[in-house]
Amino acid sequence: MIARERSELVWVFLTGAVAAGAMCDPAAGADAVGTSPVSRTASVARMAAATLAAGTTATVAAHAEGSAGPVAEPAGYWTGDVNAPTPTTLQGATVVNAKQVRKLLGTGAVVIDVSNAPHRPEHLAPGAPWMPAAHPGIPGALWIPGAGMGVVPVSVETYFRAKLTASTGGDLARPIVIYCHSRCWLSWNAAKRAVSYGYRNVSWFPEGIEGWRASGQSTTELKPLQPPAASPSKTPPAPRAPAPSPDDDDADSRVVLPA
Amino acid sequence: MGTVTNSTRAHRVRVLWLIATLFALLVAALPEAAGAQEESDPARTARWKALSQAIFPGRPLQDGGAVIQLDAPPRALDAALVPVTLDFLTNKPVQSVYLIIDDNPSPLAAHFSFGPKADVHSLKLRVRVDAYTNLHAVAETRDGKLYTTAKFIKASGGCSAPAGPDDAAALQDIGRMKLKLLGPFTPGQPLQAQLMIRHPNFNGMQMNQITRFYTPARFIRTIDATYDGSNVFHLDSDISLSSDPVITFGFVPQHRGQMTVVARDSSNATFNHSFDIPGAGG
Repeated sequence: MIARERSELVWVFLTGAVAAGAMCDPAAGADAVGTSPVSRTASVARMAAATLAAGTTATVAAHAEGSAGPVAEPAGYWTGDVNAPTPTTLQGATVVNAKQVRKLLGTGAVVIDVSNAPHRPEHLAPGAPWMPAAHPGIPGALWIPGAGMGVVPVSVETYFRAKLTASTGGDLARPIVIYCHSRCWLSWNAAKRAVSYGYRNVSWFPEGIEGWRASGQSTTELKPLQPPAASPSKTPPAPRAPAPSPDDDDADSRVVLPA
Repeated sequence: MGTVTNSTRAHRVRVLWLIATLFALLVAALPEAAGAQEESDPARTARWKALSQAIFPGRPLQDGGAVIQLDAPPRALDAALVPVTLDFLTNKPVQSVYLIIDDNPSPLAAHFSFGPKADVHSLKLRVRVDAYTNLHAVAETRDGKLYTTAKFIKASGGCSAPAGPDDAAALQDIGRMKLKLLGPFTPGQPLQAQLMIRHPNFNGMQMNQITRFYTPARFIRTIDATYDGSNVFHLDSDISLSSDPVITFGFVPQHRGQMTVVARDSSNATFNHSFDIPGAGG
């Protein structure tokens, strides 16, 4: 019992440190668009430390739960907390680092950013300024928010699929790189989704935009691409009913992987 | 899982605890060199210029180092609950103060206007921070001048952090209030009080953990605190206020009386409560 509480304490402590160190959410570290990268050594070291710490967090948390080892790949899509430690693998896809992403860019890979986009809530005071900060991305990337949700609205899924078809020219062998932020499941889900569509050269870049910047690469400002008719706010309201069990398959709203 | 496993486990946990602490220290110590550069980034300066022009069109901002001090942890443990303290340093009468979180999509987090019963020395609140950002506090003195000060903080993800595991539970007891006096009650002497309001302050960017859809925005838009019918402060707030807002403010009670707090949210719900000052036992 004491051991468990202590483990949780470590977890809480580290979550804070990692969240602050790894910059895991939308527009995090959006300090510069096209400006010089931060001190390279410090950043790389920080990323390494953050990654290690994230690994330790996972281990300790897993330990507290009575299991062991790193984060396992879920059977379907991840529907838990988006900003959490991710697996180190993705079945059917290749895991790549910043250097490999740069190489892939040179070969004409399609790059997709699936980070969340801020959306203006209703009832904001009329005079309140709504000014989302610039979203830095890998040059040439397509930013498709929502494509990495655990359960994706039909409109977003259709749009994501169509954008992939258009940008690859329908070539299932064309390399595709999918990323969001470090320690973020959205890109893992989206890459898995792309694999399920039959793309054979899908790369998942788990270090995300933070890893890209830490490796000294430049960024450009991206604008979100969204299906024209249905924004996230038009998705059906949250049902009040209890949580659906994983067996409750709703073929309309998510892709079911072949067993 | 027998006794042997238990002692092995305890040992393993101790080792992990040690490793974890070391890494945490490493993470905490490393990024300072990088931080300095991020902070002085020209993009941040440009962002603030655009923001200040949008919020204070045509009004010059003066350096406020001698007027107002802004304090927040440089590295927030929880981006959805970043404590901010504003201290007012001069005898210049301050009539209002703005708190701006530069890189939040809705940057103007709070605007406090002080009334005749206010004691404008210190103010505390908790906010959500979406990205590494500058915070700006702008004090408006009674002669209409604006004084600003800034602080760079590292926190991210607070805007999409869920308020709790369950939206329905978060809405329970909505509007319940508490007021705590932070010092002895002496008529005519300034007194600090801490106001707590139960409200999820859904900002419309939090995703429901189970349905994966956005929880509709519902947040506190105004809070009015009056003492014996005379205004202490009026707050215009926004989606950047943390859930279950906690505000610490000063006032000057001339005698025993009642503090009345009225909060209105974006669904046009009104919550009010009156507190006896000094209250039972005071």
